[in-house]
Amino acid sequence: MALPARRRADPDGWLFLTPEIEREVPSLVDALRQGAAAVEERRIERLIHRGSLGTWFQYLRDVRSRLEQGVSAGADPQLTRRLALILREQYLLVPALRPDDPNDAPELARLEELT
Amino acid sequence: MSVIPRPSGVTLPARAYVSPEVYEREMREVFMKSWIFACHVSDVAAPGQFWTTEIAGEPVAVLRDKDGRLRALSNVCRHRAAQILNGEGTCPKVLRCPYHGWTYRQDGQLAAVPEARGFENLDREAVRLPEFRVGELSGLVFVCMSDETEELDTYFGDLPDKLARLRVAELTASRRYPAAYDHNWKVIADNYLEGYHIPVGHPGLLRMLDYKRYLATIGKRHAWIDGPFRGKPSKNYQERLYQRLMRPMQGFPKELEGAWTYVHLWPATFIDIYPDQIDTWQLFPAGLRRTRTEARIYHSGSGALRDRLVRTINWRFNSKVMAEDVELCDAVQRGLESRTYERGVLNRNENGVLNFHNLLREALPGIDEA
Repeated sequence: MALPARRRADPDGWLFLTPEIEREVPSLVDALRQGAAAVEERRIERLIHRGSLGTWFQYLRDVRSRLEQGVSAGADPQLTRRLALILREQYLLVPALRPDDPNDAPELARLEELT
Repeated sequence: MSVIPRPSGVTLPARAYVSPEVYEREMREVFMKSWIFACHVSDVAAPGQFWTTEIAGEPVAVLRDKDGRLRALSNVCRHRAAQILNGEGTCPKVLRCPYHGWTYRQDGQLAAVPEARGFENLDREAVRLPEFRVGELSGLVFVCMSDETEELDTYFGDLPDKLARLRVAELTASRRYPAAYDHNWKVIADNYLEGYHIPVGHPGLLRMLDYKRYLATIGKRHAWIDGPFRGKPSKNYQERLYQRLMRPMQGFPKELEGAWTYVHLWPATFIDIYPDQIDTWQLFPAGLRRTRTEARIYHSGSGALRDRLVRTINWRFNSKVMAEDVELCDAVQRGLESRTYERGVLNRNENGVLNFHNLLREALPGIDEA
């Protein structure tokens, strides 16, 4: 059964994407030496409080870029795969919130390669 | 301890939520054999004070008798089943049925009968209101209909120690806030016991609470769920106002000041612990697809404008959360009655639900094959 209309229009509906990123990305980025966990935590929390779906995916693209740098630098494949899977999940979840964005397909394709 | 194998990570079958037989077993084996929350100690503080409640459909009256002893009696007249006491208040030395005036002492013994000579062979000595076990725990009164159940002191394990620091007995108790929902009681309990749905169902809570530290710790017949606050102010005006103005009640334990804490007491009592107030929320199964609920608020009695405003914001915020949960439970209730859904799986963030389902498995052997 379809969600009630007010949910589809809920400007905060995108927040449901945030928990796994908030829980896992800081330590993963730190482990890949692509950033400091504390900095990532603050950044993510700022997005949760002040961000939007658009700025959230901007952030995810930035994380993907750093993931690729980590891969190029020879980071642990288990860690890079885990991060790729977590980021990929976001693109599999977001169609519930909005129509396709031109960035989605290429991002998803790159993440699929990384998994 | 039980030797029943515990399926890990799977829910009870849907049939457990829609079977009249399971429902009846729950009433007999769970509600009638558990310690059930009744009221705040202040509700029955003085001799004659009474508070009515219900356990598994049995009307119960808790009262303080003239000698200061706490009692719990069946609130059903033995003449023709009328409920004797209503709501809460003070009854003098006797309980008088409002239907025909049958009169009982405070220990439940039938004392007087109008037109007694009109009954053939009425042995009034043999007529009494069944009495149940009653006890106090950390400022809250509990009733148990079974003589075989473990003592209240140990029934919930270390929960009394955790609750004692709240000094609930010293708080001011509100009136009842009743409601009713078209859900099986377990649907509502399941919803309370996990935070996995918070990101989707309650964006406001996600802003207020640090979800990655949202943790259910399982104790003996209870679950203690920590919802620590985020450090940053929310962008929502009402939430920001709460964060800014909230100050803990006097005497509120420091270690709980930075969180909203949720507690489940087996089978169907919930305690919300906020620094500014505490709520109890009780579920009363009223049928396979119907549950009555009763909420009460306890606070320090502070009449300061700031504190009253904070409590109002809290109530409004959590009423919205409640409304969101009602919609979610509506959806689950419909789904459980489907022909194709048999059973679900549980995320690690749903460990409170798994524990609840395992307690039901222990109380109702064979429920997985219902």
